[in-house]
Parts: sequence; C-alpha cells; structure tokens
Amino acid sequence: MPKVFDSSTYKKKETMKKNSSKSSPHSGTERPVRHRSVDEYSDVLAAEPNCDRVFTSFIPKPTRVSFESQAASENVVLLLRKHPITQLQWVITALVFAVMPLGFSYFPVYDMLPFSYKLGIIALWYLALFGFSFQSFLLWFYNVYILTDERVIDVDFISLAQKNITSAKIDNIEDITSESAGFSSTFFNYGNVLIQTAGAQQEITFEAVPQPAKVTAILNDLLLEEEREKIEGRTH
Amino acid sequence: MVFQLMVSPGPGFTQADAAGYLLALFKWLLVAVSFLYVLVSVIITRQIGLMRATVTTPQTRRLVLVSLIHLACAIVLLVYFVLFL
Repeated sequence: MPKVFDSSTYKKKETMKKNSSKSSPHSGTERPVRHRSVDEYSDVLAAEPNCDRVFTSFIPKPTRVSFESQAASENVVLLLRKHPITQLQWVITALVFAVMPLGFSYFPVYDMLPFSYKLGIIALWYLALFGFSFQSFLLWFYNVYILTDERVIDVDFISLAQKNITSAKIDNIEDITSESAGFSSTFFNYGNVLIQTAGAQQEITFEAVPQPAKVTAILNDLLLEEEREKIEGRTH
Repeated sequence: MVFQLMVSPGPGFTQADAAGYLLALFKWLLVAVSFLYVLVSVIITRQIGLMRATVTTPQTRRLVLVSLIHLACAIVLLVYFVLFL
C-alpha cells in the first residue's frame, strides 16, 4: 500500500523546527550580527597575503598582532610603520660611530693606556652604540598605525618615557587625504595619510607610511563597509 | 695639583705615581659611566615591557631576549671595570 501520509517524518520535522527556534539566540525580531571578513569587501586586502615579517612597514592582515584596547570582535586588518628609508639617519650615524674606534690610536692619550683600559673603552663604546641603535629600532618598531575593522589607531612612543595613543572609529571618518611630496617619497612610494574625523581628535596623520594610495583605498573600503553595516542593520 | 706633580714631582713622588693616580681616576670615571649605562639598560628593558603591553607582535619575545642580553653585557662590563682595571 503506497504511503499517503507518514506522521512519523512530519513529527520529526516539527520537532526539529521547534528545537532550532529555541536554540537560536536571534529568534523573533532580532537579526543575527554578521561581520564580513575583510577579504569579502575589500579587493585591495583580498589581493594581499597575510604577513608577519619583522623588518617591514606594510603588514596586511597580520597574524598574532594585538593591542591593549582591542575588543574581542575587533580584527586588525593592517599594521603600518614609517617607511624604513626614514630611519636612514640613525643607521648612518651608527655606522659612522662603528668605524670611529679605528682612529682612536691616533690620540696620544689613548695610545698610552694599558691594554685592559683600551679593551674596556672599546667594549663600552660598542655597547653604547648598540644601545643607541636598539633604542632607535624600538621607537620605529613600536610606533605603529593600526587599522582594524572598527577603528583607526595611532600609537606613538615619543620617547622611552612618553606614550600617546589616538584612536577614532571608522564611521567617524569624514575625509581621507594621501600626500606624497619630494623625490625620496615618490621614488620609495611612501607618504602621509591624513584622516579627518568627527571626534575629539579631529585629525590623525599616518606619517611616512608606505603605499599611501593603497592605505587610502583600504580606508575607503572599511568606511564603505561600515556604511553598509549600518544600512543592513549588521551593527552591535 | 696632579698636573704640577707630573711636571715637577717631589722627591718621593715620581711620574709613575702620577700616572697611577691618573689611571685610577680614569678607572673610576669609567666605572661611573658604566654604572649609568647599566641604569639606561634597565630603563630600556623596562620600556620594552611597557611597549609590548601596548602592541603585541610575534617578535616581542626576541626583542625582550635581546634587551636582557644587552643588560647582562652592561653588568658584565661594569664588573670588568671594577675588578680588572
């Protein structure tokens, strides 16, 4: 006899529907909050592979990077530093000071010292030089500009004793300008990105960052996605 | 006074004695500079801790290690100046 109506399968379907509606936290009038992955809405970042190199200043989609005020749902999409060419001054200074001990023997006072004194002075010289270079490197390494899918953050360590962190929400951004002036800026493709915001901190400047045009494009993508999230009700 | 002694030392004070005093003065000057540098190294090491609390990267541990080695070298140099000069 053919099956006209099978109540067992009907009951199973009804039970499954009831269970799914009970377990869903967004049942009824609430919509699920879904943030899209950055690759879904930004062609510029989708074309960039994840990067974790040390001596680089343009780091798209970095893995294992976080900052102190980062929210649990906030993802870092771009980490920027000043272009390495801007650090040339202290690098050259360090190199000059590195070769200076070769001329110490031309000083009569130094020449008259015992060997143990000469060794100590040379060791102290190079240790101090290393300290100067390391400090300069740290100031470059930790002065970062962070783009997340929610905010723009400028971390400034002005000296070893002074820190300044500025952040602005993406949807408060009113204007983005990139500028690249001078021969070295054009040749090495770095420049400033000026971000006008509606918040208390009216301007955030990314100084001497590499590929400023690409940074501007990424910021525009983030801004557009924030607008879309508001329209589609995908905000918190 | 030390310079005068070097130019015309007294009967019991030779130029070698003057040189010895000068070397001793120079030694303690180096010890003082080295001690100050140890303090600078401590500040740098401490500052890395504050920096990594602000921004954490995969390279943070290596930087902490480098700063500790730098501090250790500064301390070793201070000990060398005190004991072997």
